[in-house]
Amino acid sequence: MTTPEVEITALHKRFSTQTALDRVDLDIAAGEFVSLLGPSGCGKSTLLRIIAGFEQPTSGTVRIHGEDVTGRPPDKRPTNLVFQRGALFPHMSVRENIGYGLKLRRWDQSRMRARIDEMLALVRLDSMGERLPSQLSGGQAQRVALARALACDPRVLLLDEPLSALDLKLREQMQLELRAIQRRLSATFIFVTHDQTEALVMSDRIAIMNGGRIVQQGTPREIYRRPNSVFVSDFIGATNLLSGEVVGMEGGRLILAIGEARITVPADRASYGTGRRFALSVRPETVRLDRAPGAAGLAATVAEIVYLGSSVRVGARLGGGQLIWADLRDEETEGLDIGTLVALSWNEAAAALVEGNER
Amino acid sequence: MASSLAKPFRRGTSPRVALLPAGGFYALVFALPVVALLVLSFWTANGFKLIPGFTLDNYVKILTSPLYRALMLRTIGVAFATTAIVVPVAFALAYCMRFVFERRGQMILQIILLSLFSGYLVRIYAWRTILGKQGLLNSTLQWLGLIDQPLEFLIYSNTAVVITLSGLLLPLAVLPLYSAMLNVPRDFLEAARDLGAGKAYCLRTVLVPMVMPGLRTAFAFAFLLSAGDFVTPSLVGGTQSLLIGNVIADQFRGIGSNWPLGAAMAFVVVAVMLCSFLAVVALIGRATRW
Ligand SMILES: Nc1ncnc2c1ncn2[C@@H]1O[C@H](COP(=O)(O)OP(=O)(O)O)[C@@H](O)[C@H]1O
Ligand SMILES: [Mg+2]
Repeated sequence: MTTPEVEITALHKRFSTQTALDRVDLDIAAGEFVSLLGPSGCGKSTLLRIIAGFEQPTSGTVRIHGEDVTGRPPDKRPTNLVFQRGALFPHMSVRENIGYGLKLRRWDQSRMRARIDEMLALVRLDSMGERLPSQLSGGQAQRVALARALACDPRVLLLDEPLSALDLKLREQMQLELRAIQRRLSATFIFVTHDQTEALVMSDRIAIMNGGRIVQQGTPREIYRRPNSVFVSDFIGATNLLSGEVVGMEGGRLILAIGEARITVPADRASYGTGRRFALSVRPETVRLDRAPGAAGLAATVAEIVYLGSSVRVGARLGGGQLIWADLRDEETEGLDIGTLVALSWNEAAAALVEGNER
Repeated sequence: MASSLAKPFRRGTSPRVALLPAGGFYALVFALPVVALLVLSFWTANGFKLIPGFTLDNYVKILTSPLYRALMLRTIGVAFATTAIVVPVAFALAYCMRFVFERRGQMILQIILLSLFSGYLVRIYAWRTILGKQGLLNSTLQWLGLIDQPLEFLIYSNTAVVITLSGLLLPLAVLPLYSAMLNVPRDFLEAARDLGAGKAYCLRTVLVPMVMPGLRTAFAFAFLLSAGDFVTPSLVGGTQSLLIGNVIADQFRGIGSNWPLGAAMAFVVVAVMLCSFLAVVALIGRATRW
């Protein structure tokens, strides 16, 4: 295996009263788009700022392209950061902002002009070069911030929630644009966000953080389909978490008790001994709902029907009182009413056993 | 403090109408006396009697007299020296309050405000006890064994005037700088560092231009107030440290007073100081163009 572009080893960060990062290990390959995803306060920005050089870790190392950069100031690192609110220098034009880093690297005038033009074209702001930051919209300002950070051709581009201040439509458009730019440049991006959809849409790989730790890493698909904890399955997308207990084994399969009901799942992943409490994560879009009398599945009563336009989300209550959500197509719900008796089932490969009981 | 980040648009009452009350007050308490003084500067005096008229004699006298020229040069020198001490120190202090102490900076601000409330004369006398022959500074240096004899130049000298004026004006200069820096998020400094700027380059090309309005105000406080002061030289200055302000003050009181001459002097001083001030501000502006 080739050396990772970014190698974070046993990183630990304590602020006076609290631990912001707790033994973080993370390797990022060259050309990879990695998102750090987690709730507010979980340490994403702190991790990013340590990579950029704005914070010093209490212990642990950061290597970039095989070189130990821990302890180096930000101006001596091959990284550039895009700030949440752009941080464009208000007294400089768009061109001057983009050229700031180039001028420091003593590029000559004509080369600098060409590079600035190239960057403006990359972010599709060719005609805006002479404007001041105060004359730009939020989306344009973030594009300039991106161009300014990319102009210096960093080995790793760091982005701290750069789209969070934009409205939804623009944000979705910028997500695709940012992803396209990253692909075109084959650049290494580390992208911080607290928005799970954003992470799923953009990333090659997602590292999910909680309480200063990385709790799971993987491709968006792996994370979505195989969350390894209640926290992850709940944080990524909508899910049903069924809590219950292991009551036995049967030919390599676990028998689980969910309230009154019994279901079996493959015992492939973790070892759950009899008596263990667990949670089963089932995505609403994988839940089937059968109205035929005597159909196989968990018996439930329809309790909620929520019309979402493209789909209908139906909540059905099990005998034990637990509510399970199923996303159905509109026509599948015809004649369905509150109080209808149904049988719930799902493809067992679509369900994930996860650790942690609390919701 | 006005900031370059201020929004270009304001809602509600048009700005012109909103300015009326303040503008009227300003006209009454500032513009009117200045106009009166200007008229007065073209009059002449005979003893205590003012003779209306229009003559440039007062101005000619001021501009041709070696004594006034020497006083004027000394005043500009003292003002520049004071400013050269006050503005950098105030900038450093405001920087620490904003970016190093962060929230505790507010506490320092309270202390600074408190020191301003303690009054102008009290503070000059305080400096006298610090700088005096048997004063705090000399006794401490002697106790430390760094000097045998008290340093004479510390009191009743131009040095004493500059030190005292610096002490008086420092808190005043910190206020506009600190308030301007509060409007600068740390992100901007970090962005500059991130793009490869060293600390000094980042200050020069990002922080200073972004706090320019505050810097200009601090500069005006230090330069113009020290140039206009006449109490400090008379309390801690020597015979050779009188400033133009002392002479102007003398024209307005007691025997030998000459109001029209004093008025003309005041205008010459204001003109000279304003020109020096604008020149220096323009120079700083040019030096920090990135
Ligand atoms: N400079 C700091 N001083 C003290 N505590 C801090 C500092 N920066 C961050 N923290 C704390 O560290 C934790 C992680 O913060 P942060 O990395 O900003 O989270 P996120 O970006 O995921 O929202 C938070 O609890 C925050 O209060
Ligand atoms: Mg953050």
